[in-house]
Amino acid sequence: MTKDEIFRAFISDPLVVEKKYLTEEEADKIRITEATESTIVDILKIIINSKQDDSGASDLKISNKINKYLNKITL
Amino acid sequence: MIITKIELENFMCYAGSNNIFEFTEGLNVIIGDTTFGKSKLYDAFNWVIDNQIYISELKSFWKTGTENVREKIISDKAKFEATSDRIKTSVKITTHHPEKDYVYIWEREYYANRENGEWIGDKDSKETIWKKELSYLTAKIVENDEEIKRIKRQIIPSEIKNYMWFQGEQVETMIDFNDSNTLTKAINILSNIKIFDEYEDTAIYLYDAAEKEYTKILKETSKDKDKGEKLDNEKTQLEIDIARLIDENKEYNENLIKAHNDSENLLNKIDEAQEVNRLQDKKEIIKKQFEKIDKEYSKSETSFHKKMFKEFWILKNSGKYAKLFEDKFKIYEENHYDVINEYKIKHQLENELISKLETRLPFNVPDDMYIEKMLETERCLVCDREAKKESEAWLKIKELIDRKQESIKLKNFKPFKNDLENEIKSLYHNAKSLELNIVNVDDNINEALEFRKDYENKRNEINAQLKKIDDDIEKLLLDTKLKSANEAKNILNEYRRKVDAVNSFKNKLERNKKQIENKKYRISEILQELNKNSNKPVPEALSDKVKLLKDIRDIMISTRERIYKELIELLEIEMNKHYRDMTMTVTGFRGVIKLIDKNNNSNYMPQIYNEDDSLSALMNTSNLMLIKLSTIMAIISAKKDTSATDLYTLISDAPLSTFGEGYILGFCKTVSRVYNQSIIMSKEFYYSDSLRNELLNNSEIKIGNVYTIKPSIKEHERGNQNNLSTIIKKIN
Repeated sequence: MTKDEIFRAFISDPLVVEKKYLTEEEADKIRITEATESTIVDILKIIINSKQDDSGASDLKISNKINKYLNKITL
Repeated sequence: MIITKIELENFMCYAGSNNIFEFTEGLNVIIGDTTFGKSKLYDAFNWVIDNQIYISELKSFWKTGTENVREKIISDKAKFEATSDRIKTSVKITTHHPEKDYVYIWEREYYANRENGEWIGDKDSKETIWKKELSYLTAKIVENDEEIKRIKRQIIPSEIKNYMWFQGEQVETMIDFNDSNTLTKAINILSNIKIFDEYEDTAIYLYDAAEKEYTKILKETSKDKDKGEKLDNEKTQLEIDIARLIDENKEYNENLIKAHNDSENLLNKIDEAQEVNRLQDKKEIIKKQFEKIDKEYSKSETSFHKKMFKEFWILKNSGKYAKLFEDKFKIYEENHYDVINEYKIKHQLENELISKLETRLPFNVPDDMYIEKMLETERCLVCDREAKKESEAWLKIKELIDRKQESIKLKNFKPFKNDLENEIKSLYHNAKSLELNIVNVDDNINEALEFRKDYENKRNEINAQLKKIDDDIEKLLLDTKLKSANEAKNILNEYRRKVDAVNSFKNKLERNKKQIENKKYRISEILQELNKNSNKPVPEALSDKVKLLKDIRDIMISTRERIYKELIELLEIEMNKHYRDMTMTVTGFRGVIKLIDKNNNSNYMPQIYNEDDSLSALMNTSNLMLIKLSTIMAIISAKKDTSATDLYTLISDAPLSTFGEGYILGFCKTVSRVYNQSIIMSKEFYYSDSLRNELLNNSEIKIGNVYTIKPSIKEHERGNQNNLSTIIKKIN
């Protein structure tokens, strides 16, 4: 499966719209390569990229990447 | 990657070096009867790839060099005709990726040496992989281990091999419907769902880590440190408990599914088992009735001879003799009376005479001693007068003695020497008393004989009933494949046990579920308490992070469930498509396959339903095997053109051996549609020319190369295999 296929699988989950992270239209259009202003989408991208690119990336490593990203946007 | 060629040299029945099969995309078929060498060809594929051979008798694979796979894999003919003391067997497989301009040649060689006339095989074989550019004649050996691994995975990854390369008899074990995870395992291996499992695990990890960080902050900012510590400890313990309960539930779930499946499997047999048991019970009751009657009869038979005397059967036909006896007795009695009467008259006269004699002197007076003295002295002592011998007086004295003797003589007189009147009379009376018995004896005997006849009728009737029950039981056993009536009883007991187990595990699961809910609720309470106890608010960024990661976790869990469900739906459609195709030429019940999540734990199991949507009880062995084959094909076809699985070759030896030739064409059509390349060894086309024509000409079958194989020597000569080789002929 490609990264985008995995990403699309998560984004098209009804919970994404239900929890109001994206509208249905946004969820339909969005691709992994596109930039967004949604934190949850960015975190999803971090997880997918880490797992698919850096095969064997540990969960700890992914957790650190997410923390780094969150710290960056908080600052 | 497709397999374009396999070359066998002195491998088992393939003696010599000119044993070549070439393959194309589509369905390649090797046709041959049993023992013609199909399985050996299948073995050759396995041997090259995995250095092992499947031993049917042991139902397992054995590595080269082990006792079962040593010099035995070398052709007997080759060994017999060998001119040197070292002999080689080898198999080469050539594979080609359609988009590449080179092929890989994978060779496995094995040697044996002759020592003292005996062939001793090497401890192991040697494998070599060659890479050959299509435009060049030469090939170079691949030596890089990583590249070798990659090539091997391109041909067939080990985790997929069991589902793509199999013998008919292995289908049964490939998918075990008693194992609740069996479908999940196959789906995990042959689909992408495992990726989502990994994402789910990661998301759970990320959320747990954030949540721990959050709790840690709350604990550190506690107003009451002891309370904070205590609450944190309690939370940790609750989390441990929840993890334990979840583990327990996994086990209970497994056991529940197993018990449920077992009970459902038994459910198919339960009606028959109940019927067998009902008949068996009926048989027992009839047997008891029979025993009772038999006991009565035995008792009656034992006393039969006694009845000769007790019931006077011995007097049968004696009525006329009794009458004769009675007549004679009457005559006797009259005669006896006459004699006695005569005697009595005589006796009376004599008595009168005695009385007369007694007129002068009574008897015994005087005493005999005095009378004799008087006769001797010739003088009467009574009157004291002389009584000269022979005188009137003397004679009168003598008369006194004679009178007495005469009286004695009279008194002792009897009319019969032995009077048997009493005995004869007794006999007569006895005979009289038996008169009624003699009259009744025939009725009595007839009654006894009637009882015996009745018993025999009853016995015959019961025997017939027992025989009918036995026949019914035997027929049921044959129809249901139950081994014995005892097995039927065991099935019923086992079924009750399994149903009890299902209920027990359900209760345990329910109990644990409640406990988990309570503990989770307590954790939320603890978090609230920790919040209240905190002397400064938790940073907003951390709260947001926990919320975000919780939502990501939920999204990933939900995505995995959704994709799995979609996959199951797709699988169900594909399974039915393949199942229908494979059974289309077969008449009789087919039904529809539905994948059912019986215990709501995402472990789906196939069930056959009738057309009216009711659950079918007709899931027989053939159905099960076809479902298994359909399942594997469905997993491949559901992902066709989207996954690498369609690039692997299906290799199957006698795939339909367990359920007959009626399915072979449907199977071939399905296989040629699902798999890019398949190599099937089959005997079904050996005997039937029409089937073979259908195979070669049916437009629904994408046919590849078709070969026939047969041994070089006839069956009765194959005891000695020193001349055995295999004749390979391409027929299309």
